[in-house]
Amino acid sequence: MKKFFIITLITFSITTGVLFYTVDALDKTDVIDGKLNTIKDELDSRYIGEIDPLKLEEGIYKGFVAGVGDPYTSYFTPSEFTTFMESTTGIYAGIGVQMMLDKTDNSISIIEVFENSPAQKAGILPKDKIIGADDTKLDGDDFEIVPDLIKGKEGTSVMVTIYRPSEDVEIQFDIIRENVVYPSVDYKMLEEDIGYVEIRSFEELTYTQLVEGIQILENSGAKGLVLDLRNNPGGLLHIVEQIVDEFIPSGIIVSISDGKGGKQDTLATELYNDIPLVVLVNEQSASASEVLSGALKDHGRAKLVGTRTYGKGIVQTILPLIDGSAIKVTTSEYYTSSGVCIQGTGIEPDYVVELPAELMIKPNLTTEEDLQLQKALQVLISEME
Amino acid sequence: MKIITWISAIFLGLGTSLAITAMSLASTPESLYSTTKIIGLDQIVGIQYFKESDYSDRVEGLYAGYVASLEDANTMYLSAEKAQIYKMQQQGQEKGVGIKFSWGISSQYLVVTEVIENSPAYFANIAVGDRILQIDDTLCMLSNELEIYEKLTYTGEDSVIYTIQKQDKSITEVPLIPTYITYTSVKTQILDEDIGYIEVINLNTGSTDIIKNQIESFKYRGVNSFILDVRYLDDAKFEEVVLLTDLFMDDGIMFSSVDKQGKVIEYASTTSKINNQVAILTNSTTAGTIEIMVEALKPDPSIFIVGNSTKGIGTASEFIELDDGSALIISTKQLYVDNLEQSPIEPEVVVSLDTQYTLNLVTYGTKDITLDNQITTAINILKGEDA
Repeated sequence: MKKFFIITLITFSITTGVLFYTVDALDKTDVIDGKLNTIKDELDSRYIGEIDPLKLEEGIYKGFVAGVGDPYTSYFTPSEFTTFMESTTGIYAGIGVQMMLDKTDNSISIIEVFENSPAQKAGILPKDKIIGADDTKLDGDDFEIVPDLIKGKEGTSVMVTIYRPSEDVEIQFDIIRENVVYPSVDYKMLEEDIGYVEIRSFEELTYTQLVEGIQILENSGAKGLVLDLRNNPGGLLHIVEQIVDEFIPSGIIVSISDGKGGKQDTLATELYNDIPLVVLVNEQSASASEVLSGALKDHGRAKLVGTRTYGKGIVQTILPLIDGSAIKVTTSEYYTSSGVCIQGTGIEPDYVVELPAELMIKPNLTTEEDLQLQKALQVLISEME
Repeated sequence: MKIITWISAIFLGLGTSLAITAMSLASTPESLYSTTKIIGLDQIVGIQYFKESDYSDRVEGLYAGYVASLEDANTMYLSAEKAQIYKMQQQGQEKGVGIKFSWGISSQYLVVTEVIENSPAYFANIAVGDRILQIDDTLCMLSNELEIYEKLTYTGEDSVIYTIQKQDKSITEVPLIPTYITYTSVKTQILDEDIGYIEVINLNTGSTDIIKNQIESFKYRGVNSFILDVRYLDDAKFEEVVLLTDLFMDDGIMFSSVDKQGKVIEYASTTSKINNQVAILTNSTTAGTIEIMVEALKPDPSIFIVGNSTKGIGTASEFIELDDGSALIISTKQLYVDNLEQSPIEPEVVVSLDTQYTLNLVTYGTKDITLDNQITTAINILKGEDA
């Protein structure tokens, strides 16, 4: 019995000692305490609005983590963390659109409306701008919270107000939320021997769907492929690595570096598909899309057509804390095999084709209007010869 | 001793330790935060974050986050550096290179929309419509947004290299060193032969006098209707707002304020009003103290509010410097007209900016007044035609 207590005591001491060793840095926090109390006094005596001490405390942790100056490194309060976990597990259903923040007029723009989604059935088109959800007016400042307002329990409805730039009208749609899994790969034959594959995002099934799609296109006579990664915001790294592997015979697929000297390379396996390939990218092609296009370009496997990609090549890790809060931290960044750091740089296409402003606001372009696609076909045909 | 006793002893020790740590992560009633938690966060971020980062940056972030949690657009913490910049801005002075910009339509470059006269950019022949592709080694892309803003607002002594693409597609690298630039408060022109257009860029001490003189000058030239454009005014000095509102109101109380202690101040008109028709242009970026002027003038039948709703900030704030040079801006007065609750002010004539205007701005950098349908609507109202 005595030994039991001794061992308990030793474990307790060691563990607590290690945990509280850091409390030795209390000197540093004395300065913080002093200044925070001064600020608090000023707010208490002068601030005209309501003061919520809990929110103030949360603000301290949020601000401290945000102080690294990285928009992707942040602190979650316990309730924010719960909401975040719920949204990634699909408990909340949506309307089937992909949105982006349009900086030119500080608005929320819809880049894609998924096939057979509630949004499509209601009549929402790409390039529509979301300006309201139920009773809340929205603009670019609200970009972070829009998914929370649009998503909800399956079967419930949400009133979405949009502004359509091409017609200069505002329309209200009453939409019923559905939990639908949207296929991430779409494909069709373009000309007699050219296949077209659009990859919308990189999800668990994307590789399988892609391989199937390419098989079908090759069986239909495709001797060249246009791979469209425009507006693809990214997704699962291990899936895109498989896809890169599908097209390159050997070498580095992608490098992940932790900025402090550590580096990890993923290498390609021997088997690959050598069908002539041209890849379409634009400024909304991000993350995993950049890994794919960057690898294909570096290995000389495909020419890229379009505009420079977004430049998001970082990996975030979520670290839950004991008290239910959590932090999201950027832990590493991607490099292409030729050493291009994707973050903040993006991948420059071999052939730059910018869409004129009028076409950028048009919801659906015809094949003829799609100048980037036209150039890709031109490049592919000359590659096939 | 049995294994099971060892294991249970260790678990008990661990468990108690963890429980105490978890409890210590909660702040005590006397403290504003948990010291252990901050230190823990510091350790985690220090180890995990992929770049080197400064503890002092995180501490500055801590103060900023504390005040920002109030979610009041008029209340914030300023670091010592930012406090300096703010003080100068209040005097109409800013240290910069003299470029105003908008993001390009693909958000992969900036478009120059204005070059301030006699600024470094002006002398380097940078023109409206030029694209900024890169600043130093950082590409002008949305993925670099924070870095780009830092470089654009750099106030140090070194030169900053701007990679500029001119309209003829040629690309040059232009080194610019920030200098002190004085911004004009007001820009004016005569539209449609007899409408005096006044764009209020800032409202600092003395700005109202400038506006008053400009109006006199217009009247002297036979121009008797005015457009007061406050669409992008979000930092008007409260004392000037009182004076500017007075310009357009006769005797009586214009608006009132109340502070935390419940003290009420009434701001009365001391001069007679200008007897002309005025259209005031507003947008969601019409924010802060200027909004009380809009609200106070709205009932006047000769004044028309045109555009989009204002932001909805109904407070006046004070600048409070702390011992170490950093500062606080705190909303200290609630402003109101006739005891009505302040909320975004709806214009009498609601009209949004056309897409064409924005597309033109982000493509060519020019603000084409003929495409600015908020201005053309205001002109039509003042001329007595239907909006």
